[in-house]
Amino acid sequence: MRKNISVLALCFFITALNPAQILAADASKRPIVPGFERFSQGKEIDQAQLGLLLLGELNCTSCHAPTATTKGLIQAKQAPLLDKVAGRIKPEYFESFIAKTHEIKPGSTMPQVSLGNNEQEKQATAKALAHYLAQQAGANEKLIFDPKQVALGKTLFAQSGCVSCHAGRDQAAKEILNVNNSVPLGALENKYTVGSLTNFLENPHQVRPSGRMPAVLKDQKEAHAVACYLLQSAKTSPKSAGVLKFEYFEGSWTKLPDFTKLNAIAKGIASDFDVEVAKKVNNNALRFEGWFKLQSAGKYTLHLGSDDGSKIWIDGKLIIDNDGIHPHTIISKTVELYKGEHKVEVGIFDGGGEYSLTVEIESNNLPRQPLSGICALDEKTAEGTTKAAYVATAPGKPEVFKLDTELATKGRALFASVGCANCHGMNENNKRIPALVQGPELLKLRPETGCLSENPQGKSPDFALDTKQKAAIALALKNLASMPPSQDSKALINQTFLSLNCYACHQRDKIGGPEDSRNASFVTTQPEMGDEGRLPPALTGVGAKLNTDWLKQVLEQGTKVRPYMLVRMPKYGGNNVNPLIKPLGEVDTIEPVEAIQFADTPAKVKTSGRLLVGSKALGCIKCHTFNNQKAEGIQALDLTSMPQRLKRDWFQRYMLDPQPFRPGTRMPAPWPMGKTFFDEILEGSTKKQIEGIYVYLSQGSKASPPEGLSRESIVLVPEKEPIIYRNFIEGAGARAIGVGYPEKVNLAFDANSLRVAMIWQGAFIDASRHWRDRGVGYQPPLGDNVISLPAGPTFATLASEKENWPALTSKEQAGTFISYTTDALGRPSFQYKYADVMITDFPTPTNNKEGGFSRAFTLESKTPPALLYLRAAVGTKIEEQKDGWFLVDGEYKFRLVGANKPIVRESNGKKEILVPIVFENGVCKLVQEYSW
Amino acid sequence: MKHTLLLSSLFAGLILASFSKAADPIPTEDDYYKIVKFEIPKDVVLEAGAIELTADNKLYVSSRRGEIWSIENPFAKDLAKDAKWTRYAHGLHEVLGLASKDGWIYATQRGELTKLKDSNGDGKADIFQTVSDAWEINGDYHEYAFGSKFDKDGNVWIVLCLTGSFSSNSKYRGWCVRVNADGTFTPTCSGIRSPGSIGFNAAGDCFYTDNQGPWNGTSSLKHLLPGSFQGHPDGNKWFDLKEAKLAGPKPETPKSGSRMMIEAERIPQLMPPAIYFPYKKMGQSASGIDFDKSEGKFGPFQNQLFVADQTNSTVMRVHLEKGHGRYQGACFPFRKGFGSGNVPVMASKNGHLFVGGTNRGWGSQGNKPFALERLDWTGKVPFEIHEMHAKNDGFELTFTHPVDPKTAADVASYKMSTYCYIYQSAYGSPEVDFTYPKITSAVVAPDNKSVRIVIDKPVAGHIHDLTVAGVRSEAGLPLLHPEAYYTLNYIPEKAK
Repeated sequence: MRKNISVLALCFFITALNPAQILAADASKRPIVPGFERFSQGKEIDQAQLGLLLLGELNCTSCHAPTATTKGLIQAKQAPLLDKVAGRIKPEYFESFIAKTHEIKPGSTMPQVSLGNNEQEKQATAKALAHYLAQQAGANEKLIFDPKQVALGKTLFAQSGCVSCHAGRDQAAKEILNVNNSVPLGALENKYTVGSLTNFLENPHQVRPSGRMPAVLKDQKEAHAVACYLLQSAKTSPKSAGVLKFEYFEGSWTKLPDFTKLNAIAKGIASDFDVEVAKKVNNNALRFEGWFKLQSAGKYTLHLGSDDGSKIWIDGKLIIDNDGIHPHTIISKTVELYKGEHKVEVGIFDGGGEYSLTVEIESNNLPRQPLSGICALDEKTAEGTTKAAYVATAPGKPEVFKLDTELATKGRALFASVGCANCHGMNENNKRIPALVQGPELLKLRPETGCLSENPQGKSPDFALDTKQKAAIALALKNLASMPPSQDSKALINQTFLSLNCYACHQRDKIGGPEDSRNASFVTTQPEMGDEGRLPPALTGVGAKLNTDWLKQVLEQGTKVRPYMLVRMPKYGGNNVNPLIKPLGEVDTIEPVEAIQFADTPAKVKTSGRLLVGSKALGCIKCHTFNNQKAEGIQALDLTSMPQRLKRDWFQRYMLDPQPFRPGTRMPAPWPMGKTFFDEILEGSTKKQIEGIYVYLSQGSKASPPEGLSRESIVLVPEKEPIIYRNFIEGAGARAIGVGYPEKVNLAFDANSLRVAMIWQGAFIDASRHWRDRGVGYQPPLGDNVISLPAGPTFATLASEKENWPALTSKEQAGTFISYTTDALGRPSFQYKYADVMITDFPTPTNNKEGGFSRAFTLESKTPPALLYLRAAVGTKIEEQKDGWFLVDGEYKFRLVGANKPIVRESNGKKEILVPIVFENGVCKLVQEYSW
Repeated sequence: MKHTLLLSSLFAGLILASFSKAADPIPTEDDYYKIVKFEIPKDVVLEAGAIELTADNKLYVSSRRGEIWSIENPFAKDLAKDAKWTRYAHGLHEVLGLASKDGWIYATQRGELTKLKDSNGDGKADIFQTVSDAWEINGDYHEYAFGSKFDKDGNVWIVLCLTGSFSSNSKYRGWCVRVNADGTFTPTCSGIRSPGSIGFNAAGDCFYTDNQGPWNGTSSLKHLLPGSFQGHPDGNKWFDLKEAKLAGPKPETPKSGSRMMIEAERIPQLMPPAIYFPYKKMGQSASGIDFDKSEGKFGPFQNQLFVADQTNSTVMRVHLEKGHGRYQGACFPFRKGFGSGNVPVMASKNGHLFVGGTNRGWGSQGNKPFALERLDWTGKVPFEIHEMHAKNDGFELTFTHPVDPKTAADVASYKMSTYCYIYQSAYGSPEVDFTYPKITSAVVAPDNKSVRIVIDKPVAGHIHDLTVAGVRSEAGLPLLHPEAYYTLNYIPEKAK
């Protein structure tokens, strides 16, 4: 079988290498606009409209001026704003991306800008631009990689909506390539640090204001988790060659130890100031030492971050003292350093808990970066910044970027002249750098020329468009001239749905909705709700459904009214989505329901609405939460949010017949065929009843809770005879038999492990968990002084007195549960069988004033086993007292009556009391009394 | 007795004739079958889980709160006055099956089948003996266990709901098992999802209802042929257990997103549902099952099955036949308006149908939290489709009264669509693969009691959704329920 599989795998491998696939690789560099990718294959949306989409998404109008009549037809996507870009993108990323845009990030909508006439010129231009961008310093986010956040990040990435537009990731969090219609992310680890990616994810609109990337994550914590998940491969990539010496010490400290007085347990070479070289977490310390060389004298800022304490010395002088027990804390200090070689030493220790270290350097011409990047093992090999801008580094070691201000100045001029400024906003003295490149006017563009030609030449940028994309653009350009200056509402909605990729999650008028390949990524906490619980709602008719204010809020701010649905409606930003509101109201209409005249007073109408919603009438609260109070069954949308969200006319029509509005919904028709079951409420009028509910729910959180909402307790109180309660009892298992006695003592017998699992005093149990709603979970005893008796079997045969008491791994090992019978007073006597011995276990309350049990055992067997024991007690401390009583862990007392002398032994680190069972004529009787 | 029956049918005929007068109101279900309510003693919460009628004509009703009540005189005309209630047992774990044998009451609890006896004659059980606890529970509320009456071999059949109704995390969850009165335990069928009840047809074959969810496009009635696989694959992991070998070879895992009959072709053990109850149209959660064993004392539906629906508080009617050796057939609306969410039903030989209800945790159209009711036949025969038989090229419909040959021969009196469900691991399914067959002819039999309709063309594996709006009885009445849903898994061979 295995062999077959590998043969099959080999076949796939060969297929993957066939020439057709290699040719297709070029087409794979085309800009990925998800709406175009998805719909250009079908007929749901016409090609000219998809061409318009491309004109907007590729921001064509930033070079090709639209006329007044065509301007409103294109929803242009603004390119990322580049102010302070070096604060969020690694400086070493710029040059490669500018020089080889489509290789570095296939699928990018950024074109390969024309950089020059020959390779040398191109390289020089890219380099200059890179230095200019690297000069745009910004605040660095201080968050660092935290392996504990990866799992949360993975869940958020997979479930909250990221994969609705982006490709999923494999086990190592690598982007799964060639997933249809996915916006590619490229090698994020080369571009972002954990901190800068966190910032971007938390607020993507700050640099990408057009809302194509909406804000999905709710706060910095979530953004950080996703950043850690996405960048984890950077953390696990092969390490560079060593640049630092380190020494490792063990011990327990609250402050950094004096390393000169310690002997190192281990020594070695490290590639970074990284605590990973420590042999364990907690109670250890590390000392790093290395050299770096500076090109010029000046002010340098050092950032030392650690958990717990750390210190840094330059040339033997303490620079930063970040000592003591604390969470990851960064201290920064600016110092004057001379040109030339410097010795650096860093010490850190970990007392307990988290362990982390970051050492960074920054100056006017050195963007903030890890200090290890310019470190070497000794003075002679320390690299200076006098060499080329890029330091030649050991294989696998990240390139280190050193800013060249002269080059940056050149880059500033190029930024405007090669066309970057056409698309990217960049402020200089509070004014946007003006664009210098001007292409032909939009309406004068001809197919197969300029950007649309086979191989764009001269100044034309190369978008790597494929044939289909070019054809769609050509068609759109052809149509543009004759189109009216503004789109009708329907087209505008469609255009916005395409550009914001609403169709990835929502269907509208039978277009869009989750694609098959992504369908499984939409998940729910309530699978019983079916697709309704996991797939975002269809937006057909949404303008007639949602109140305008609510619609606006949902679009601008996102929403989470369906707590069971794990994918989120993200924030798109007002400017991007507000234009949808009016057209949706115009296109989506519903036949109005005439105003309703009530015979009752407004107060009575609300009372009737409340009655209808409650358990005595329609029981809406069985499935819907009410003002965040849980429902009995599934937890559907909160009732008190309905009038805030839903238009009255829609509510009236939906309640009458939900299916046409939400095909397949589990929402039953509360008025089947329009008829009410409640003739006495609001004159038995269906319309009035629906309106009454709407009026009642319109009070929102002030609506008084309907009947049946809160779970009242059901305390079982044994009065004349015992109450038996078989159910899921916490501490006694899924087949517990609880018994409450009128004497106010109680027990729970576990019918799986065949033992009395717990005894307690006072109140017996609250049955409401199991007797209201569906009955979810285990219920603990209600009373006081709950004593858990030893887990495992009550009786067992041992090979010797030394053998450990057997643990139960299955129900069958415990023996067989036979029955219980009740006596004239209703008290149960349990019968179970172990090793051919029939055991009757009859507990009865004792009459002493403390309250206790007397447990009468009768064992019968035709073939009595040897070495059968009762395990009477297990405890850390068992003290013998007078009258045969033993005190167990100071909690309860027991004594044995009519039993053989017990064996007191140590086993498994605990004290145990075993009673040897000796049969006489096949019978053995004994009593164990409990008091507590 | 026979005499009265004859008289009452005669009487029914007279009444029907009078209905046909234009001014008379159209009769309703209530004119034929009346719902009689039991007066449940105050302070008793009888969330009915199972019903058993013992040989001494005592009705035993179990509750989800673990009680069993015995009711004397359950056939009394005045139930409030004559029915006598005694609490037979308490403290049991959600009893959803009751049977009786040799003076013992057998109760299916979540974790075991238990037999109970009142040994001292005080009316209360004092022996609670475990017959079998060979399956397991883990504390998940969805791990229900529904038990049947005894079959002719002395077995109680038990269907075990999946953990959380989605997966099988405890031994034999997702299985049907048989437990003999002597304790012998026999794993019988796999593939169960979330049962609503279990019962037998007149031939003694065992059926259960399963509910819409994963691998179940809608609720259905399924035949528990020993060794068969009922469609949800998660419980198949227990085929590795030794005694599970008794249920035959482990079936292949079905392909999600396929169709039932495509998979049934490929997986021999896979048993297609005998009846699908189209979602919303018939109900939302099928439950109790019993057959009419009254030999006419309950009306004309002898040997047909009655199946309850919890959400809609209804009882539906099912007529089964065999196609390619497997059960299939039609379901029809029968009676609505029960007090709570119907779960157990029990038909008596003397022509009554007991119906118990609870809507705790799952809402129902009947808005009472719990109910016990008895459905009595008034003696009048409603105008209904009596049986629906599949033919190679269409269907044969028989009626409870002679039809008006003119309306019955008019093809415009009939409307049909067909559809099926996606057989998938995701929850439920929309109706898919629609066809709209043309009714090409409707031929009325000489006795006017049946009509043969020919359609272009039947689709195997589809529900044939028929509305007979135009047909009138000889007396001029429309059908009480014009809807019929035939689950046509197999198209019969052409009659030779």
